[in-house]
Amino acid sequence: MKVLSLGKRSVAVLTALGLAVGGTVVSAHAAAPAFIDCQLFAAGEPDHIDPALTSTLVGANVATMLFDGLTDTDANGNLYGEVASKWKTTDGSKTWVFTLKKGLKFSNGEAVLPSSFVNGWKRSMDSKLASEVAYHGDFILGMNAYSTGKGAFPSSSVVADDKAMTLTVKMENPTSDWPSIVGHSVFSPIPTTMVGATDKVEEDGTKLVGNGPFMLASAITKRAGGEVVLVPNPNYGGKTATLSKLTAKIFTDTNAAYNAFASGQCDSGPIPAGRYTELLTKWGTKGVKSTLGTDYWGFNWEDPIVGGTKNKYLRSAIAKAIDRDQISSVIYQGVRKPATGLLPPGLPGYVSGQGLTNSRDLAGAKADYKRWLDLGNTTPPAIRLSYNDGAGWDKVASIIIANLKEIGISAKLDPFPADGTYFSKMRSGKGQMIRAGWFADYPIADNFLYPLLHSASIGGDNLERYNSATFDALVNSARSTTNKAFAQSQYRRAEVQALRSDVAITQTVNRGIATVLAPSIATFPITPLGMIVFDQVVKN
Amino acid sequence: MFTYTIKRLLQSLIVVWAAVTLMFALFFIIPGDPISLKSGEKALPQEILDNIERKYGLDKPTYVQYLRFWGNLFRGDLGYSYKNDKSVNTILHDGLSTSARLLFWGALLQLIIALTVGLTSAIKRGSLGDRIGTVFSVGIQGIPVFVSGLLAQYLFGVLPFQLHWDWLNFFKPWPTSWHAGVIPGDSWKGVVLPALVVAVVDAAFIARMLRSSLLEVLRADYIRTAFAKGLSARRVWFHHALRNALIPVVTVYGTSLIAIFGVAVQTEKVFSLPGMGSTIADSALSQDAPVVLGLAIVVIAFGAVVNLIVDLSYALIDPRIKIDSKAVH
Repeated sequence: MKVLSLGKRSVAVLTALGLAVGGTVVSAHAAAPAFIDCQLFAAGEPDHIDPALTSTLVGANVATMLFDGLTDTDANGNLYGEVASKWKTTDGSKTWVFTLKKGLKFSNGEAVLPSSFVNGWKRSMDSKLASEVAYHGDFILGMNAYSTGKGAFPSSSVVADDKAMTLTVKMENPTSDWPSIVGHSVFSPIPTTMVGATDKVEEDGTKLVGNGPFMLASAITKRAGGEVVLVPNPNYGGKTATLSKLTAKIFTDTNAAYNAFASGQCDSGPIPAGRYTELLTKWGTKGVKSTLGTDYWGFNWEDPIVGGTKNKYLRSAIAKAIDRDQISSVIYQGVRKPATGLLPPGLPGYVSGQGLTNSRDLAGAKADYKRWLDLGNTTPPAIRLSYNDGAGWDKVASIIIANLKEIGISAKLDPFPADGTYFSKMRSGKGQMIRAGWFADYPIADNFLYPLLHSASIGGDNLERYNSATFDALVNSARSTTNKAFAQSQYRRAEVQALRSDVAITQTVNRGIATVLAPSIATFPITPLGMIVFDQVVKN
Repeated sequence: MFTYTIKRLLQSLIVVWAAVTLMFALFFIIPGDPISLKSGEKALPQEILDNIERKYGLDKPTYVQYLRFWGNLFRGDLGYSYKNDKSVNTILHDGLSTSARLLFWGALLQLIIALTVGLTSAIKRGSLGDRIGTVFSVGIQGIPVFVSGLLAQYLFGVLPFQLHWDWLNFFKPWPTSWHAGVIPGDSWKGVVLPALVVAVVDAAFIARMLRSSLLEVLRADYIRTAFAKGLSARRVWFHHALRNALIPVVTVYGTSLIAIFGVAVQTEKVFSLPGMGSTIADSALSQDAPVVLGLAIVVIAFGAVVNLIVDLSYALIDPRIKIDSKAVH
């Protein structure tokens, strides 16, 4: 009997514990959604979905579904007016005037006016909001002072005329690419209900009010196992979304996200590393698209062995020895294609073959290495290939090490912990051969060349600390001209200077996005900026 | 017992204070800072980093930040995550309910599996069941959670879906609707695989512990006496033997309940559950001090309470054990 009473006590204790931990009542889920995405947030939650705050591609993807900007880039890479019907510059790209379409509304019914953009920019550039993407506003005259808390909002630089439906923007310098730049989500408009909204506004789905094809159905649950649910915006001025509901589920493990897709939980899923060929063969390639990004390896310009003008032939030997086709096929199974320059295909003004070599040139590599040795240099100690660990870069570095071995250059892995400190260490000159990559914020050449290779970006994104007066002059002249064609030609010359004349960096592959789709998905458009155009997704 | 309990709880508060202070100090000792870590592949201008630093009060001296942390804590405010601006109170509130549920179902399954396997192995020593139990115990313990989790997803999710065996598909979303601990509809299926993965790791160890403990007790003189008196085998095993064999098992189970927290963390990550699992790992890597400190308080308090319950349960299981304010005898 005592045995039984012990058992009863245990059951009672366990039941009580169960009630205690499971007692919270949470509201039930709605019916099955029209489209469930398990790819977008497969590797973790978005930083934000508020367009003023998000600094990630996936967060921006949701933000662009909720908010339409003045301009945008379509799936073919063409710039088009989203809220703006037309735009013009009156003084050689120093001042831009956008004319807005009439009759557009936010999801709460409020009209989208030029002043909605002023309100949006006032919020997103406010130093108190501390947005990580506020610096994109620095193109605007006087905006830097506002976003750094040193001055008031530059009202004379951003002038709205709600009657004429025009928005006039004065630039800090001539900016011929401004219509492309202003398509960034940080330049989204907001309704008057969002004026002064804090960074917590996205946690209340009813308050993050946009003018995009979708609206938030409920508060965002930014956690693993959470989800972002969007429904069509009933007041949308453009073409109504083809989906009745979009649910983007949040995962913390790509394998689990794929398994969720493969077990019928979702309409789209990610491809775990190393399974591209297998899964794209199985599910099809509708979800594959090349995007505006490039992976490359840079040479620390201040390093005594690989840096400076005197070591150019060693760098060119390395650049020619790298087998980009092998990296593309073995590591990325063709999803990331071999790159021929820093600027990726699809970027306006792109020219193929700007790099030192398009394909592996083993004989040229050996010859350049010999020339470098003939200049009085001795066999160098193993060259360090620095990369951030845990993201699969070791495999790319291993291929390069094997490639270099074939021309007699010794190299070794130099992993840095996956704790986020890699880039800060590279910025301070700790690398020798540096793993790097870039994804376009907006589809313009300057967005690659200025941050990555200009001497003004040393300590920032110029990880190689590359310093060339010739390169700087070319980029500076491109930035200050009012002639767009001339600017593009100067950018092309600058790219050649850095990649071919100085060999400051050497490209490997262009980036791409790959997702697996259920057979019922007929259309799945993706822009070159990597944004899935969910409002145009067609599910049978 | 009351005085003893109060004394132990006060000791736990000191442990919490010391551990949190140590962790707070560590955040300032380890290289890097949470704000500069926000600069990834794309560098952020210093002015932007300064804005963010001011927003979280990280521009203030360390001692001011420390005093502010405790001041806010006494008001029940754990601050905001540096990573996603979310309130730590909200993160803990949302995440802990899922973690607690997973922990509960995992611990319950663990107990059921451990008792079944351990008892069978001991009573039917040398039998096929005992040998299967031993192989199970040794085999399961060696499999990492991320492997067993993904394997379970494949065997009980992907494969049944492909074969159209829906009855075997247990890889479902974690239930979001609970009513007084009961999961309505068939969304309970979403609990099965994560709970099983949590349970099997230490269940094997506890089962082996119970087996050896029971075998030792079954060799004791009083067990022979009980059989000689003509008591039924069932009564001897369950009343006389199991009760005495449980003492070391309860100690191990208590430790396991704390360790299971770690297993649950990994399981949540593998199954992408909305618990604390991924938050712990991500927060530690991104030096998100408010979240890590908030979690530390919860985990340390949980450990202290479990240890206290284990100590108190000794007296419940074995009346010969007395508890006073000085120690457990």
